[in-house]
Amino acid sequence: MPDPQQPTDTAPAGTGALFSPVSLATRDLHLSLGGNPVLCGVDLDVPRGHTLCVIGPSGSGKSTLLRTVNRLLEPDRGDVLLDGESVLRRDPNLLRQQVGMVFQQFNLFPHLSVLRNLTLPLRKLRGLAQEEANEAALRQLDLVGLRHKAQVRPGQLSGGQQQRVAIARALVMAPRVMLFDEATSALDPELVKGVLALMAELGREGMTMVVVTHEMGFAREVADRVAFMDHGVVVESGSPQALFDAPRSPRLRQFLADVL
Amino acid sequence: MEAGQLEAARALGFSYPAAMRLVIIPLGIRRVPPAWVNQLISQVKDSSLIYFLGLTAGQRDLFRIGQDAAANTGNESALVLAGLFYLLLTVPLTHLVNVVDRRLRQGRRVVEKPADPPEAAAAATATHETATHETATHETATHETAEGASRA
Repeated sequence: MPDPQQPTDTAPAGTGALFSPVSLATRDLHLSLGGNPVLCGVDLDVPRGHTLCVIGPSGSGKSTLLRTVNRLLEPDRGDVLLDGESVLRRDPNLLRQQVGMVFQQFNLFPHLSVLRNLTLPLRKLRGLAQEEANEAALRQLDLVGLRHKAQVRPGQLSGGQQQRVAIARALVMAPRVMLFDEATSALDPELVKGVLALMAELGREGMTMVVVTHEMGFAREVADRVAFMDHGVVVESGSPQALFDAPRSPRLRQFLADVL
Repeated sequence: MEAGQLEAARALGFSYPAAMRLVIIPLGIRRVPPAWVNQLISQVKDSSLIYFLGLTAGQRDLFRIGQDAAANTGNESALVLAGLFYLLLTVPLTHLVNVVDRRLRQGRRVVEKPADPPEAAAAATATHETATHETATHETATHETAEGASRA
């Protein structure tokens, strides 16, 4: 179980992200993929600076939900609101610059050095000069404790280090909300802690976060709210204590019995 | 190509054409040269089979020359020499493909590192890593030579 208070060699001193987080809400989201209904009316509210953990069995629509927030997937019906403003009316590319996303498989660009993974979006999307971009990227890498790896390729890093670079790459763009799609599921157990500590730190600093996770310990400790999804709907949501200690729905009880 | 790279680029805010130009195409291009050199190696080896497809009386491939010499003189060392020529061609190519492949995957050997403002710890790690890496390269080379020889 991650203990965010306990500094480890991999725990960051702080993410140092400069951000002005937004609130996030979904309204009656419906989405079918290949004829299968994946989201069947999802309503969620994440106040500014809060962390929502989404738990649930595979195929329950958690990852799909995240992808509707930055419009990697377009909902068939319903809406996603950032600070009350519909994302569907915004330019997807500009929207995505404000929505940081971290993937299960890290998805760093393997042909670029760690540093260039961070500077590429800064230069090409923010229009920063090489010098400024390098400076910002190195500062961000420092904050995730990987400045000394700036020049190596991602393939030479451990999974945990890669994921921290991926988080740094998202943060360096100063996102206003962060989405984590099972960010630790592909990691060896001993590497999970450092990544979770970084995520917890980010939450404490006041980032608005939606964290899809199988780490129940993390959900219990870090989340302001937990939502349990199954078959495309939010079956139950509430404070971590309420969900984990007094689950009301039989499906959640069954799920918790299976995973804990 | 993993779909994840494109998705990651799009999630950062790159348009589809920009993601293609900056990430996907450079990645794709890097996968090609090692395959080319591999192809070249197998063509060198397969050239000995051209005999079965037929050449004119004046044309002979390396293997055929060796075999004819062996038949004429009763001395098998001509065949051995032909084999050595194959090795001469394929062993350097095998090395080349390894170098190209590693270079494309891992990038230039890190030379900027000392120029970096190095905290003592980072510098120590870097030195150690370089040393380890070179040992590994040497081992790979030895291994490949043996493998190349046996294949040829």
